Amino acid sequence: MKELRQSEFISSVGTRKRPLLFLVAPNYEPRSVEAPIRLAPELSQLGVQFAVGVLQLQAQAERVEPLEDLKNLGKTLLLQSLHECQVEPIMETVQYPDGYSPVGFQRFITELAESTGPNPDILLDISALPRRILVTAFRTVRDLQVKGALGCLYVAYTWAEDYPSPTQPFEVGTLKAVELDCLLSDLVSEKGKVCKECWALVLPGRQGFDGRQLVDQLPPTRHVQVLAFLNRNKLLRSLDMLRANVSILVDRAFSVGYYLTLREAHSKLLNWAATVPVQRDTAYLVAPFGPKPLIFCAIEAVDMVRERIIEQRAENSRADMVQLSGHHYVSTYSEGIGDLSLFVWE
Amino acid sequence: MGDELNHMISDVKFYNSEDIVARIHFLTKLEEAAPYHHRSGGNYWTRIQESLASFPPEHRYGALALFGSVVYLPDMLLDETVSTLAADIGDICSASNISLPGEAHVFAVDHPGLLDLLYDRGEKHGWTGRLDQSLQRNIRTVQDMLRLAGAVLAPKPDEARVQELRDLLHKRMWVLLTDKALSGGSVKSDATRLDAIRELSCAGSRPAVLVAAQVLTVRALEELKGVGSGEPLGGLLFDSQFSINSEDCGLFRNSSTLEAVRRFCDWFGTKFFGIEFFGRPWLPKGARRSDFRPTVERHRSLGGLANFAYGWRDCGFTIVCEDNAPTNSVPVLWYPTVGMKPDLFLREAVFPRNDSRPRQAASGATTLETRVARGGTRLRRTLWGSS
Repeated sequence: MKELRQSEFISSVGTRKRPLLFLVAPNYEPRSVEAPIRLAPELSQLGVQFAVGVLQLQAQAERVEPLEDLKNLGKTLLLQSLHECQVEPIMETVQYPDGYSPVGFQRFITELAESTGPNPDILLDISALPRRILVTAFRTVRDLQVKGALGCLYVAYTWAEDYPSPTQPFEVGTLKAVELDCLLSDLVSEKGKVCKECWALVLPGRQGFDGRQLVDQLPPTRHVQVLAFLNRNKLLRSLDMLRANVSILVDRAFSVGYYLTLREAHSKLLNWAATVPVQRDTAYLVAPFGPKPLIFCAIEAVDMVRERIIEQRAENSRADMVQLSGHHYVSTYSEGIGDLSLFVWE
Repeated sequence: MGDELNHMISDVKFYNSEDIVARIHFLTKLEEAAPYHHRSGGNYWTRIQESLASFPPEHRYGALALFGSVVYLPDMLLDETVSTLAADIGDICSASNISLPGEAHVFAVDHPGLLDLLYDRGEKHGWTGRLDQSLQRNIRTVQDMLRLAGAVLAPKPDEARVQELRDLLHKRMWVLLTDKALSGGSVKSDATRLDAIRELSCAGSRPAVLVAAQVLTVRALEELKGVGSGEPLGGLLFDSQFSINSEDCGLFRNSSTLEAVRRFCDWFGTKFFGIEFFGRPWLPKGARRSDFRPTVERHRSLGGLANFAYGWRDCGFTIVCEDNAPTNSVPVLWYPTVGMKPDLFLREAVFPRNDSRPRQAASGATTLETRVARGGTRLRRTLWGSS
């Protein structure tokens, strides 16, 4: 993972001379359409051949009407901007959260990649994409890369300017092992599939309760490492995040560290995955509750542990990411438009 | 505890309006895990209670809000900033094809121990070149560099020392590494000294100078404008939201709280640093703190507020590092008043400051600097054979 300045990104795309597939997902947050609005004109000016896939996430059971209207507003802004660049987007509705089909989403990316041109690069704007969808997206991109159907993976992330305080969750979700697709409580309980012991790496998020909820559900033999983010460009906000997570940050039973850039977090995650002792009957959990781009780092860390589990034939051991599921917002979640970060996954 | 104090600490509305409970709980726990090096007394909350009891009732709300706004930086977090700086320096050097660490030299401001940590972290961030060990061991600070230049100025200089200076001048990058650049004054002085020595280089091969600070403030960034070869690097960057003395202060939720905090700082400053008070012999025998008058007088001579209410150069920060409280933070956090005259409020500071660190200015850097500046032509001749 390498962070690029906007000029570096444009120059990288220009130099590679490949078509580019740009995936965006407008939602009710103003930041959700910032990356395409900023980047599409530059790409167009540079003469890059690019296609834009616009994902429209649609809840079925629980629609929050004011948010739907804000989402439409964002979509209109995006379409206007693309129209000015003479780009005709490809629209796709994705049922989410209820009715979400990873297979359907996978198919959409695959077909779009094929139609963009030979072996295109991909730019994922993850600013408004739910973490669960990001897992599918990352896995699909990796598969296509292995097959030689996709080139470079670029990631765009527009930070929020601020967050409303307090956010009002419609429901407090439950913790799930994302890819094993089971409740955390099932995974680590006596009756569950594994786990007399657990190694967990927690990247605390803004809300705080999820980290505490996680460690409280782990079996007594647990080894918890907490890595907290201090965004050096947004220190005042970062202090709020630390305060929200005080109970896990000062718990002497846990190993606590900090990171100041996402690149450092990536390196620490991989280091954890490479050095955590692999043994039987153990759960290895990565809980990326912090900044969204770290989801991809977490997937890589989980994959690395899984490989080690297989290599060392550690029976009955599992590795997965943990996320809060069923968490539904009745606020705009974030406010304003912060910096745009761009990354390339090497 | 007096009734008034009891009344205040049960003022739930005030507590909630400024999130006092979460803030102080967080700081108390954080400091328990990484205790302040010079603390005396119990945990943070206990020290706050003792402190509050010694202040006049009208200032206790301001005091409590101020204590809740402290930004406490444990050593572990500060160590992490060195990793970040190593990566940042790596990026800058890589963009200019400068090999690290071989083609660069790092000078420490005040803390030579930081260098070893930077090289250690640098290795993890791809500083794969060969370190010039003896040069880096001998020349760790700007003061060492000045001493080296002084030695080369001797009538018959040791050739090994002359070569050392040549080697340093042949480096492509000089990094000036400091733990804290809060007002930027110390770093600026050292950068200016380095600049003077840089002038000795052959034309066209002058090393670039990069300032890197574990903790950097916007105030220091302003002070350092035009110093060095690019924007200073900061591990943690504190903007004006962190200054009580700034219109942008974001440490409190309500403007009325900020006003109360400012009134409290003013009261404290006037009481303990006011001119009428400073004029009196107020340091009784056995006083535990050092005489702070020279610092305050220098602050005033530089145009700072007479009552020193917001600390050195009126910075107004609430930053406290695990190893010490900086003078740029408001004095009420670190200035002990134990042992002062009985009609004043007796108390230990919540984060008593240790003033043991020697300043370079006091240890002869200025004299050396003058010698080097005056001997520029001779130095160039010794180094390069002509002026």
